Amino acid sequence: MSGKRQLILATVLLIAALAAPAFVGNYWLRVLTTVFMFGVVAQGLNVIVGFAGYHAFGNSVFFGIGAYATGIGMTLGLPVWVAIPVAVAAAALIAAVLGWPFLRLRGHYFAIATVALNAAATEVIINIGGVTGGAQGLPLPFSSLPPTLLYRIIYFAMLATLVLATAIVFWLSRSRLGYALRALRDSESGAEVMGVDTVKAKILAWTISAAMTGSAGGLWAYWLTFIEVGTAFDISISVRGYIMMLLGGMGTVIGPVIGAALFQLVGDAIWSHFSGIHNLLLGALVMAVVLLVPQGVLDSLSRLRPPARRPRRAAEA
Amino acid sequence: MSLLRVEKLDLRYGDSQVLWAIDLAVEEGRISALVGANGAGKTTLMRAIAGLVRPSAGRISFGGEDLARVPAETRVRRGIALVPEGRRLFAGLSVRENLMLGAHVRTDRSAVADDLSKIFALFPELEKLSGQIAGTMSGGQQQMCAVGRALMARPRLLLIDEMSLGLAPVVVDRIAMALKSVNAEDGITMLLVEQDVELALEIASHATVMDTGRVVLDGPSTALIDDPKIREAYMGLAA
Repeated sequence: MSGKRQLILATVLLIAALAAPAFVGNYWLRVLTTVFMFGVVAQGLNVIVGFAGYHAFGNSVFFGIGAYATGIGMTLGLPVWVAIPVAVAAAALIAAVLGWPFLRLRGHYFAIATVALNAAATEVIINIGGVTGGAQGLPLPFSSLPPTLLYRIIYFAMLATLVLATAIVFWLSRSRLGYALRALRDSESGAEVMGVDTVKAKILAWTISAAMTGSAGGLWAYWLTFIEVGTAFDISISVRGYIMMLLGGMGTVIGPVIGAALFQLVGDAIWSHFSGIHNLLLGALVMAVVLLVPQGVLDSLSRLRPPARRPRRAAEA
Repeated sequence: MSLLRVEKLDLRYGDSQVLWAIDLAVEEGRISALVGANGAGKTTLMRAIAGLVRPSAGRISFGGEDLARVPAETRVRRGIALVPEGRRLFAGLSVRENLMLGAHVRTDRSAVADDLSKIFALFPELEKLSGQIAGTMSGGQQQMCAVGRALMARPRLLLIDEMSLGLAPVVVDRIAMALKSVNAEDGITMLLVEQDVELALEIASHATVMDTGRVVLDGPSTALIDDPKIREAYMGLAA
């Protein structure tokens, strides 16, 4: 799908999202907030997987770090609007430091290492105890705001985060860094002989990815007001984000957002109608997606257009 | 003065040594060729010069400076650009994006735009196909794009690995002519690796012959063309 069409689609979706709270009840407000949250997680994956080609299956570790850093910050008395940015910075910093050794691993090894990192982080949080609450979990200070207002604030904060993440991906898609990442996704040594500092580019990509994922985690913690390691570092957060990214179209600007909306809304619909077998149906759906639209729905949509504008096969030189 | 100088270079892949005491000098402003049969170590030597493999002994210097501790991406900044064997375009990127990646290290935007139009003048089909995904082009178009991409770095030394491999003779001729004109007009020094010895000696003014990891002959192309050993061993011509 062309950049212009993506921009139009994004604008329409944004207007709908801004207007929605005036029309929907609490249930849908919560569903949409979840859509935005996973949209941010999927965009975070899009940066490191879609652009750089590094399969960060364990990116949920940054969701957990964002959540815990927010929780700890607030417990120590920071206001939420300070705690979350601090948490985002913490997630980004950890990615930047760990990226140096981790991003030397390629392919499956990197993917497995990130999963191990996620597992290790849960152990660290449990064993530190103290400010983290250890295995008992961490309650966050309650907000004094009335719940209807609070949930609307969180809705708009999550939406703003998603818009910002998508804007960053848009910038990335046309920046030097973006080209460098797409080049190294194809061939790392090829990018190096073009003068691309691949180590720096990869670390930057993972840092951006971690910051996005961490911001989703931070807002999630504030929203839930109680976090524990099992849910904050749940690997299924990145698995879901992955499916959403693939569903929408990885490496595109708004694909992950579309994927998040489709997967979450369809998932909720299935869950509410077939509560006993919803995971079975969802699994079948995922398999159908991978088989039928491997490039994502955004690509399939653009294929529905008349073929005239699609690039033709080149004539032989 | 030699722009590139390789001295006593040894290189090993694990336990097996593939380059033995290689000496090579590439004079500024010239086109030099590195010829020899399959497995002679030509591509390995190119990769060592580009910084993609590390020699086990010896020295490579460029413009008088030792490159031992200079990583591949920094060598591009110093002025060494590589057209890799098999072209290695970024298949998912468009032709224009591939060309612009060649200029990744440059910040002089207006000069980059000028160079892009120069490349398009050199290979007009690239301009027509500039929005097309590189992986979908024909082999010849891809090779033109790979040469253009390397030229976009505005290198002092252009390394070209097996330019003719798998291409139709007409396409090879066109690219060879383009390289000669770029060398004549911009004075870019070139080192080309070729299995097609006849082609190499035609384009280059100077050639180095390699065999099983060693330099066996070195001299002006005109002398090598008439060398009966070369004619017999590499050109399939009777002396």
